[in-house]
Amino acid sequence: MAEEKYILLVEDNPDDEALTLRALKKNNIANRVVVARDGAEALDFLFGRGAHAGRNPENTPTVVLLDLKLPKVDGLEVLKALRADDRTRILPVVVLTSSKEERDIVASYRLGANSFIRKPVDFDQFIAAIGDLGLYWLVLNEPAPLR
Amino acid sequence: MAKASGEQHASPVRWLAPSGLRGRLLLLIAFVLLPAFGLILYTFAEQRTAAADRARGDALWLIRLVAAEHRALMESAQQQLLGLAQLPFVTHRNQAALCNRSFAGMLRHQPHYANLGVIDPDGNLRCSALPFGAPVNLADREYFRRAVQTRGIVIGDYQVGRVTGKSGINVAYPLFDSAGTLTGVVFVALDMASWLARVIAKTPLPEGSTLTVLDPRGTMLARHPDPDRWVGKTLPSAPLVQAILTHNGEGTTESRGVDGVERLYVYTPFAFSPDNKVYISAGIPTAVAYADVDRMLARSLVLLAIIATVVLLAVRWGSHILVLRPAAALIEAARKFGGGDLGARTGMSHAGGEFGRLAQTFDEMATALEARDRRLHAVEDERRLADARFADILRNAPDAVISIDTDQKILLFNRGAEAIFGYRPDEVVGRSLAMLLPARHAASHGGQVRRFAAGNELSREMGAQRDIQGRRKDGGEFPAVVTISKLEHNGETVMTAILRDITERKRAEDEIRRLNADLERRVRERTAQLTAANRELEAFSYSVSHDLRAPLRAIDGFSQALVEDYAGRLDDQADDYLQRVRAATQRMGQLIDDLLRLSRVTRAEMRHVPVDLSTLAAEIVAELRKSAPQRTVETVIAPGLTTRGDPALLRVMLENLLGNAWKFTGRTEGARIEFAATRGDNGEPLFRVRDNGAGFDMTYVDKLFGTFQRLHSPDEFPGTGIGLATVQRVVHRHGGHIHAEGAPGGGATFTFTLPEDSQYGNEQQQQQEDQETDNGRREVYPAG
Repeated sequence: MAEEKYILLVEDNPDDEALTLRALKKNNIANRVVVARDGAEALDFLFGRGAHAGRNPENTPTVVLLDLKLPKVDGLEVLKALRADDRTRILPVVVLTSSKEERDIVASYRLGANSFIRKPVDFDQFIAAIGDLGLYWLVLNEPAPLR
Repeated sequence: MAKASGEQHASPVRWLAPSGLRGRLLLLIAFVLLPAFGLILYTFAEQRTAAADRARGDALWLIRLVAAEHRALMESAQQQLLGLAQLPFVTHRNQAALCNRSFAGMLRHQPHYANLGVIDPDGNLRCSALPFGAPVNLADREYFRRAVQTRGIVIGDYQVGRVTGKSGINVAYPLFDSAGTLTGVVFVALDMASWLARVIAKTPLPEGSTLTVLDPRGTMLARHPDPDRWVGKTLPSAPLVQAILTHNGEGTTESRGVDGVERLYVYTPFAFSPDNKVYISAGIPTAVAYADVDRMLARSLVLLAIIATVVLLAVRWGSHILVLRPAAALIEAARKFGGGDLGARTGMSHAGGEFGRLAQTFDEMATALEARDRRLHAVEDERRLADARFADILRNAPDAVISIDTDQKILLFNRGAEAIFGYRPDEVVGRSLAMLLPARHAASHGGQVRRFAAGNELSREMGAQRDIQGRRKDGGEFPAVVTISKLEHNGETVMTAILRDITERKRAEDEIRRLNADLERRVRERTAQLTAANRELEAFSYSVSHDLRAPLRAIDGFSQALVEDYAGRLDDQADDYLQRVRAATQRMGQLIDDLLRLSRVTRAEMRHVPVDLSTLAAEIVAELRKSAPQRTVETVIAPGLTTRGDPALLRVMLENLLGNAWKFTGRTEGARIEFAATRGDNGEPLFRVRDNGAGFDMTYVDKLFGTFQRLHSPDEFPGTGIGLATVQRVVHRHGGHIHAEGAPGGGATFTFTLPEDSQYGNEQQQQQEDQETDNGRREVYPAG
């Protein structure tokens, strides 16, 4: 049976979380969104450990929307950890961040990010961006088959 | 040696020829006059010979004349006797008285007759023109005996008459009676002296001449003059008599006469009969004979003397003018020149002749020598100046200059050395260099100097590895740098050390080292601070980019949520407020983005790669067109505009410039944007972005490139006021300049340079386009 397509949103800022969820909704993306509020939690969730111990790590999200500036373990460290682990090595990770710092972009792609999207201030543009993102990753993109 | 031989050589020359020019000339003249003198003497000798011949001829003629007269006298005497022999009172012995009277009468008419007489056959004088007292017997007379004997006419020898007492010749004729018996002898005694006087009176004989008749025994029978003194004397030893008697013929001789007068004698024998021979001699005094010749000689000699005097005077005067004066001038010039007056010249004309050439040669030589002397003087002056300069340098040099010989004995110790070491030169000169060194170093330094002296190096800095220490008179030591150099003159090696007290320098170096260390420490601190500040700035800009945007997004997002979710429940005023909130947040977001970009432009690492500005501009224009497809904007981009630089920064720059142009032509009809380049004053391309949009007031041109500076209200044209600041930074980071020109409503032109390897494509084409632009396709938008 096909696993439920869900999104892991790694976001510490509740405003951004709300806005992201709103934008998804506005784009009629009804998929479940799991929110991790820091990098450590995101990794615990993905690897089924800590607070998420017992969760099947093979039930991976369709896409991870990863903020870079995170408490505890920041986004790039999360990305590094994901790419270091076989289970999450090919997991689609979209860096979704306020920053447009070149070094962040470069570092992200170097660490294996699949995409880098800057959160626009203009909410209309933000909605459009989230719409495009959801359409692409959840509908158009064919994920790698699970082993 | 050479000198001595020269002297030996010179003396005979001096002896042979006078040394003076005038003397030589006079000698030459004497050489000329000598033949004349010789000629005169020769002529004189010739004429003397001729005179002698003439005198001889005269004398000969005279004696011949005398001989002829003598013969004539004899013959007339014979005729007379023959006539007398016919007279009765001659033949008759008893007519003695008549005879005496007649004869006496005859005697008065016959001046040459000394007497007339008749001798008896026994020899007694019977009758005589001259009276005689006692009977005179003449039987012993040679003429009587011969007349008796020969019975013919007889000319007797010269004799001195017994009656007359005069010298003479008796001519006798025997008287015979009809029977032929001798009756007596008639005779005539000829007075030879008076005859001779008469003959001579008729004959023009020179003064002092003599006429002498000699018999073969040398007895003078007659003589003129002074017959009384000489006649009858026999002088067989007289030179003339000797000559006559030995020669026995006609001849001449020149000898001193009995009266001591030198005469030229001519003589000839004369005979009435073979056994009756006498000699006649005429003597002409040589003084008289040669008088004319001698006079002529005297005249000639006087003339010659006059000529010689005149010539010598002329030569003396001429030589003064022609020879001595120029010679003296030459000598004087040479003397002056030799005496050191190098300006001395002969002052003579150089034209013609040896003197001219000599003067010219001398003057040229003098000029050349003077020039050389001047040059030598100049060189000497220069050398003296150089010496003086060198001495001054040596004296005034603050460094110690110390010369030493190969034994390291000090030869020279300058003022700088005195100041540094505290010794006076007299305290050190002649002593060892070691006294100027600390005792512990003296040996090793001495060795170094010795090695240097022996080596091939000409100069060397001593103590390159470690400092050299000097020792002052007071024993204090000081660090020094020493350069030693070596000079060899005439095989003598002199080394000169130039030494500088570097105590101060050492201190300064230490100070510098300390300061450097301090500085380094402070730089390190400052760098650390800067690094920290930079890190903070990074963190700041990171958090700006991240954290500041998040709330804005929240404000915007929730404002939108309010508008959407509470549509209808909020009145229009509330909607308007929410829209304003959203606009403000969005502007703030833009502001943050622009600021971040500006800071990135400043911080970013520059790349230097070729960049095609034309293509870049075209891409940007294409993006702009896409962002506002409704607009109609004419864009002209010159092809081939390239440079070298950072593509990202250059893109930011062009985005801002073209974006501005796009923005500010938003209200312009027939909007036109142009990107082109022209050649600048120094050949570099001047890039420009020109639009015909709103333009700006040149009053505010200075503010144009300032951060947050805006010349238009956000209502008119939105913007953050950071774009041109960013553009300027990009241009500056590429080493270029940018300036703007514009007028309100008249468009704006931004001109910039990018010095690194820029190309401006086809200039001509651009100019053409410029013209098109200038032809007035631009519309002026009213200033707002």
